[in-house]
Amino acid sequence: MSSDLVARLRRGDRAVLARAISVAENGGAKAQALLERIGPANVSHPVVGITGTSGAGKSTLIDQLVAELRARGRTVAVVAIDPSSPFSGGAVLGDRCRMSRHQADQGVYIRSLSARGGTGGVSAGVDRVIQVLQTSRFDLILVETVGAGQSEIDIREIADTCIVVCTPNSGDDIQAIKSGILEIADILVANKSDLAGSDKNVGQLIMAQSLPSNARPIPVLSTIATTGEGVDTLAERLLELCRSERAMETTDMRTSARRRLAGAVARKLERHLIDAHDDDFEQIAASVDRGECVIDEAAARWVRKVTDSH
Amino acid sequence: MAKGNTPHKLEPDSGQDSTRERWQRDYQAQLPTETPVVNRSGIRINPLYDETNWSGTRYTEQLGYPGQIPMTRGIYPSMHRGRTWSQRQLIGFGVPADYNARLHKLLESGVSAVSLIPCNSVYRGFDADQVPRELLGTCGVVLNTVDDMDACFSSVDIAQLSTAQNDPSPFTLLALLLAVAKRRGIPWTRITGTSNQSDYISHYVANHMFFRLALPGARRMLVDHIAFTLEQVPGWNPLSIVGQHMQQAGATPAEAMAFTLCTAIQYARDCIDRGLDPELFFPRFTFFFDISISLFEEIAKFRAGRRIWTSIVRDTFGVKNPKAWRFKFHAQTSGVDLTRQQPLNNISRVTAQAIAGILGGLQSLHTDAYDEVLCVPTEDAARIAINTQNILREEAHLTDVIDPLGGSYYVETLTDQMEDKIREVMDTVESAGGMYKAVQEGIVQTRIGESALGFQSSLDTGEQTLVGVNAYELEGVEPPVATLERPGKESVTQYLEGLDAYKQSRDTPAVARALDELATAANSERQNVFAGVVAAATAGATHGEIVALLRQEFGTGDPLIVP
Amino acid sequence: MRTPPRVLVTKIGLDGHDRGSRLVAAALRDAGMEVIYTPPWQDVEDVVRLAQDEDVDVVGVSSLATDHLLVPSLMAALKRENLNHVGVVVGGIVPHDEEALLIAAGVSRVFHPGSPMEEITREVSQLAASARQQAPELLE
Repeated sequence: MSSDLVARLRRGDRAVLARAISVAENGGAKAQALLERIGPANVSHPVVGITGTSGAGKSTLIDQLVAELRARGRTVAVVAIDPSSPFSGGAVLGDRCRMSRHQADQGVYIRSLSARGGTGGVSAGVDRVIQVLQTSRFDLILVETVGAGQSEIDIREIADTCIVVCTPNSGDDIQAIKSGILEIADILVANKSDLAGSDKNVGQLIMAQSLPSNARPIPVLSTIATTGEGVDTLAERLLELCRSERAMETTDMRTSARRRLAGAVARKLERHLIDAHDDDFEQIAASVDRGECVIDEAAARWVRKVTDSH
Repeated sequence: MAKGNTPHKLEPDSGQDSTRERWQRDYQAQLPTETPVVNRSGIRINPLYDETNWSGTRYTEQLGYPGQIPMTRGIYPSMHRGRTWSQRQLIGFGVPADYNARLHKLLESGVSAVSLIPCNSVYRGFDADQVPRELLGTCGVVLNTVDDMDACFSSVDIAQLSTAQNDPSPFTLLALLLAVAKRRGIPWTRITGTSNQSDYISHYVANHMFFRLALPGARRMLVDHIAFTLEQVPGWNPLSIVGQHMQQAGATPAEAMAFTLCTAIQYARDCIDRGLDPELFFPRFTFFFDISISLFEEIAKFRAGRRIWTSIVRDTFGVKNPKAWRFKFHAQTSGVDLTRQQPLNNISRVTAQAIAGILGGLQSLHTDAYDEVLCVPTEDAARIAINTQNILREEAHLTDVIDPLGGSYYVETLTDQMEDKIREVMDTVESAGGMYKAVQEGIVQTRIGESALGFQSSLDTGEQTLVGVNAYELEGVEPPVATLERPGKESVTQYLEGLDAYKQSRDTPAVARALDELATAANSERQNVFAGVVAAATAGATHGEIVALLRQEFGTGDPLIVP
Repeated sequence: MRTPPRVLVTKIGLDGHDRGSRLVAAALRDAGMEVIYTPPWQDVEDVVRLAQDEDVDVVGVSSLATDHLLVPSLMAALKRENLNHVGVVVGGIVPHDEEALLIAAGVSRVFHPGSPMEEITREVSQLAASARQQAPELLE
């Protein structure tokens, strides 16, 4: 039975895939049971996160990128995540409007997800959804989220490679965003490079990278997503990066499995601390309440306590 | 506009202080609390205006005389007293013979100009044999070939009648009309009318159905179209810049005017880049607006628009030809204000809208039939729509005085405020790099979507009344359900057979050659693509063949959808 | 229902006016639903593919002119792909006698212009609930 389900997923049975994604997204016991049945994918296709502020042109860029990847014989799954309404919990998911030319292509699967209240633009169920997609054997899985830089650390927990899309004149505090972006990005895309201010944008992105001696510099690519200009280069660089990440064995914290695990641990720990009343934690929380120390110091203190007790 | 609903309270006349202050106090006493009244463009409306709002001391600067800068009061010295607006009614239904029959009836009833509405299949760029037949001819006339165009205007002298071809890029319908003219031995210099749907940006933003070719191709086609007609069909207005689609999609009146003017500026720049002479092409720019039922707001919108346009052409572009400063516009009463419930109320609505347009100084008017929301207008309803115009002009004497509201404290203040609002919106577009860039980014679409939601929510809450829908409803009466007049099955079958026969009997090699040349023109840097379209139409190519070819060369239009 | 209903809002046929469908999408969102919104001129086959790929509960078709005449073939295609459980509603200008045709083909409800948004959201919500109950078990 289970092997039949896995076989159907591998064969590309869309109906089963779509339903499995729903179950996985919705979580709970059913999701757990499903993931147990599917089991580990045993093969890890690259998961590429694509983030950037709303209006940066991510969906249009993805549309072009998918075309380039298809032209290179790759099959692609796209998970497009849109924010949900904080009032009603509902969402209008329109990213796929920009990707409609791929609709009839059996080598492309696009799924629209709501962030379902998740902060940072990535829903809690996304990693479960990705697990399902890994079993269905798409060569690449692209995950599109809305982000504003520093709050997008989440995307790093689910993606092996991160593309951050920026535009000139984004109107935000450039420095603040860029320092956040650089923690996340494996590739920086300066989109709308036909607009004024684009050269300056690219320049800032290059300069803002402070390079520790053993870190790779982050490539900055210029694109015009509406025309597709520069997207072929992006596709090449992306595929190159995916290949080399697979081949590389490093102890760098940017290695995906370790990074993702650390993030998952942090999320579970957060839930535990809030729900389960750990005495040590409660004591420290109380001293913060009384104004005896600041949060950052208290957190460091708690971590030391926990890690020292080994 | 928001309603005020507060109790009255009378106070005795206290007498001694200045009349204005006294009025303010008395007003306050009667209405101590009041919800502010705000119009659709977001401008707050006071209960009273006087010389503290507008004093008329800058008459020459702000108003001027009709036909003189700044043109606020009108673009011609005599306006409607000299030449009444064109009663240009829309027609389009069924097959060419149906169109011809309707056309004759309209001409008998006093219409001086017509608009041709093609079927949705034509809008989408297809020939009739390319779509499911149940979709043909319900909302416009099916028209694919030069024979069809000839049949539409059978026994009608096209040299005497101004036609508005509601046909977007690549303007095959004008090409077919020119082919008919050639056939009838009528020189192109005698053909008059307008390419009513030449504004591809408005389609990209707000009428996706009309957007056939990808943006860069559409951009090229428009300038080629203008260049061609300036030279060869000098009586034709190749450009109608459309505010109607955006207002129908939810843009406020100020936004619709602003986006339209920005579009016009974009097109002017494109024409200048091509090397066309602004002194020659600006006079051929015409506009097409919606008239909503927000009466004074619409009047102010048009007056402000006229004034802004004059300054754009004269000051910004430095054009010397006074003909170029004229803000010529056709207007249509807004279908979005009409209701299915108690449809006869729509006659009153259209009347109010028409008054606004007339007092706003339009050059051409289409009044909707009251049953427009239910079906293709019946003959009776169409007649009432035209008579509305006749009554307003000849019984209500709306045209006896040019710009009769000029000098009104309210209308002049509102005109100034609308101008400010319009310019504010124009600035957001210009700072995004102009209209072409702004629509690619989705800035315009997002704003329109927000305004649409805002208006819908005012209807949902009842803040804005819609008679018969959220107020004054008829209990227990089901509103009439729409009927859809369908062309007869036999006439559609006959049409399709005719189309097939046409394709068999024409000079196929000549058509193939012409289409080849059209493809070459499209791929060239300098050849006029519209000239290629005209040549192909004259050689016998169909509408669908021409559009398909250009879609292949330029790409199919894929408007940015902002949900 | 603990997880939000998923609704596809789309247009088939030739018409491209989408102000109405955009307003409905917003209303459904405000009622807590997840709306997959498409551009107009979808083929019937596109709609079926979307309904399947996005695992939707309800499909809302916005129609003007005679586009609704294509809906029966949409119903047939949904059935063919084992998507019978998906609720279908049509909004727009639909004459009386053709409304009956659509209902006979399996459309749950036709909304005429001016229908109150609460009525639309209520109906869609109910349809989504029954769609979930009736959905065939695919993962066994």
